Amino acid sequence: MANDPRDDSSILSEDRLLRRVPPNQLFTEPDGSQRPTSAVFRHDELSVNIESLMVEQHRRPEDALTGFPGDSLTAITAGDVRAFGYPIVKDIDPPNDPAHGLVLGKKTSSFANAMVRAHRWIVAPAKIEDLG
Amino acid sequence: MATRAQAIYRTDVFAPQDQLVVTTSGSMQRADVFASRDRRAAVITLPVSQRLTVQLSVDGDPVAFTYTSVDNRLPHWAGPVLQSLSDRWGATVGWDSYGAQPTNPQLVAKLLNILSELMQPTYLPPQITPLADGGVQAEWHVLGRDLELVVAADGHPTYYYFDPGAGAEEEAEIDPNYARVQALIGDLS
Repeated sequence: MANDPRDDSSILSEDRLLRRVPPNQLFTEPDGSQRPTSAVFRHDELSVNIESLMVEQHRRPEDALTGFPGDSLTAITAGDVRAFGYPIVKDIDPPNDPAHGLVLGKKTSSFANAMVRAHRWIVAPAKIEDLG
Repeated sequence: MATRAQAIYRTDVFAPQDQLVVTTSGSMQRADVFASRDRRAAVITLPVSQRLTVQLSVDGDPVAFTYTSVDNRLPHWAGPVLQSLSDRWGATVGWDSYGAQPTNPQLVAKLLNILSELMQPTYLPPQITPLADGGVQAEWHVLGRDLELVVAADGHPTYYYFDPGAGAEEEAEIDPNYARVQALIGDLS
């Protein structure tokens, strides 16, 4: 659990935090499947969409991809983040997305790679079928 | 496997094209090599350092680097790495849809120089991934093991290694750990 006083406890640990992944931050596995690289999770202020807020707003998770047709969409949980002590805050003032949140703090490689291992695709990138 | 225990010295060989690099440019040098009783000048020939220009195409725009070497050839790993850079370069502000900075050629050159120190002829070239702050990381992912060299806009370059089978995880600055990082690249190659 994050002990940082900035952490917003109204964001439950099982809440999913959604993050767009651009094509140039993917890694292709030997079977052709793709996953995020740790670079996706290294931002000092890591922008996410808080899924529970989107549900309240009657929005589907995929709505986070609106306007970004080339990106994929992945999810980590607030609990995954808090295990490393990073606070999560809502950041919903206009012109931000009304479900926008931030994971604050300078990220370690250990954190960024743990998020790669914990992530689950919401909208996965296409599998690369024609590898070597 | 690594053949060098520790880097003795480091010289930048990659640079953005508008930046001068430190290089040995003279081809001939006079040196006294005999004692005074039998004194005469000897001429020794030093290899000529040559500067290659490598140009990447980033969204149709050129980004050029220079590479200084004595044999006028890029190292084996440079082709795949430069291709990865060209394919994945963050070209514009906000390229990640979250306000990312464009990839910084100075930070790219820093990573290429680190690779120049570490890579051996049998090593696998890494994939290059841009960071949101303009930095870059080189990464190897082999049989569940992960190795990353991270050159971010702030701080010193770092490495990260994870081996779930051995329960090992390391994260530290590269500079005092060149031999360790080189050995890890060798193990993953």
